[in-house]
Amino acid sequence: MPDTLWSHQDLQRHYERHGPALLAYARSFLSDAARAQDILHGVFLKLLSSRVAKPDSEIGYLYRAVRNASLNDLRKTSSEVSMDEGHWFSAPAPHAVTGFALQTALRALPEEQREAVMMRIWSGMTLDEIARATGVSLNTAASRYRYALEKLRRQIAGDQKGPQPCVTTSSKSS
Amino acid sequence: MRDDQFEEFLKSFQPQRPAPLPVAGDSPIKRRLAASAVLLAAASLLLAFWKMPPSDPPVSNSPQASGLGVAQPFEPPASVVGRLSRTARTNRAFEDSAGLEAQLEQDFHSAAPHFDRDDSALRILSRE
Repeated sequence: MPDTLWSHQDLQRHYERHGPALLAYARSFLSDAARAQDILHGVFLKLLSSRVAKPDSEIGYLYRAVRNASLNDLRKTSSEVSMDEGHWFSAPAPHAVTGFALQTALRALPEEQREAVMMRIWSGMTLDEIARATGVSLNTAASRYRYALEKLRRQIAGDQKGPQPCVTTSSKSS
Repeated sequence: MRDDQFEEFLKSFQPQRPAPLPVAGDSPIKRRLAASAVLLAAASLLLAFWKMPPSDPPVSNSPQASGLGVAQPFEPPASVVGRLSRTARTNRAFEDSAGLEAQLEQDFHSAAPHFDRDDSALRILSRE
């Protein structure tokens, strides 16, 4: 059934639309940016070069493939220490919370909650799609998402209340 | 902050864009295969040229032009005399006619049938 295979256009479209979120997802497992990038490219190139049937949930499949490849890589290189803990997110200017605080909070989440929140927020999936992609009931997906939001909110609020980086305020004090 | 506000807040953080996806034709395996194919073709061409017999140069009436009038330091191995070009054999004849004669004689005996042997077909036929 050739119409159920991944096409180059499908994959290119998914890469454009979900590439950033998938890269951030890979980086939630791997601190090394270059390795996360390689994992993402590897997943897409493998799908491009092989005749794999389209799954029910294409985005869910991509998330799962990135997760498995990241965990495999992590297992192989667990003893290596990464020197490249960069930012996954570009933080909007008016917010005090930096992208680094957000990625720290995301990494602290349980894996299934992190997956749910990343699928929902940065891949724009509905809770129903998340449930189908992860093979759980709608209620479970909704609970995971709700818990994830709550933990993120608490963690980020805690970071904001905590010690702030030293900022020069000479113009105000003078 | 309500859930929907917090969602909007989270969405304002943009994950970094990955590098463009390398096109399938640029994959390292395909590049290696292409390089191997080019090397193989080059090696085949080289082998074909090497095995090709030498072609005779155009015959000229002038001894100088054909190189016959000048002494040429040419000493091919005896085993390849039979495969020499006409010009090379001529040069050899000028330089070492006795040696060439002996070589041609030896080549002839090694290539032609031995009529002098007892089991030679011609000898048997002549007896009949």
